[in-house]
Amino acid sequence: MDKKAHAEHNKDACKLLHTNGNYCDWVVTTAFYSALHFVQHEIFPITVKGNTYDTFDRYYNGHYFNVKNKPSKHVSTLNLVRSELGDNVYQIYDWLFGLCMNARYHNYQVHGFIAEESVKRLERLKAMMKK
Amino acid sequence: MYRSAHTQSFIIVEANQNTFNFDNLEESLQSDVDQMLMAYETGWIERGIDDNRQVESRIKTNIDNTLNYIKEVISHFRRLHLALNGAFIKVERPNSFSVIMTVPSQTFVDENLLQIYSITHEIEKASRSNDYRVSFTITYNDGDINNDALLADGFFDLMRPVNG
Repeated sequence: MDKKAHAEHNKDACKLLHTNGNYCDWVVTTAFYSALHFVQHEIFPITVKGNTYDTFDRYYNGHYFNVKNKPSKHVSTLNLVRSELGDNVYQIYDWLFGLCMNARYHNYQVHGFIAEESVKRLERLKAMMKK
Repeated sequence: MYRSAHTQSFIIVEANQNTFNFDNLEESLQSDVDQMLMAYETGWIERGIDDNRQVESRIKTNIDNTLNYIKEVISHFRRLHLALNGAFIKVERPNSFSVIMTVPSQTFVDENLLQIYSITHEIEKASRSNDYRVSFTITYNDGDINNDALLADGFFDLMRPVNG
């Protein structure tokens, strides 16, 4: 599955779960993982310091080769989102990221209005993609 | 390619792009200790591990740095009139820290909060070095956050009641 198809696949699952109403934790998780594939599709291929990378994994392996104290892959993606796609996309992406990653600390009981907002913000993020 | 040992005396196992001769496995074993040690030390340095006293000193310095960055973020919350009700810190490695800041759920969906994400990212970028890294996330807390899960994951609650 290519990145855009994967993004749409996860967005469809997100909407389905949102419509059901009983799986708010999965709504925010699928919203984030849809956003992740949308932004990676938008960013790649990318040329950095003369090297062109077709995929995120190749970028991560190449760009951070022999780098000390390298960021996690999620943090690396966040950095790319800010530098390549700008502040507005970054803010929404980071919001979705935090929401997804911290669901455990809410016993996976995400408020309905927060799940609703995650669906809206995913749509806003998608609308900002050009590809 | 794999042929069973029960029927053949000659076995070759292919793993990824490497081929190993199992009848003479000793020759396939890497024996370059220096190379292995170097790889280990590289990982060691990347994880920021050195002797205990240095580790302790680095952690103290880096906790102080992180607390100062948290104070800076709090000042931006105040400037933007956004409510903040908690902060947690985790020492991932001596040179890598995670911070979770908590806000009321209504603040969490406030459009103005999005500005804070750019501010924390600026701090993350500006402070990054071989010896230090901090990552901020924001979540909501209406008094029902799972403190046990946070503590189990290594997050220390930075908020304490102020007396008198």
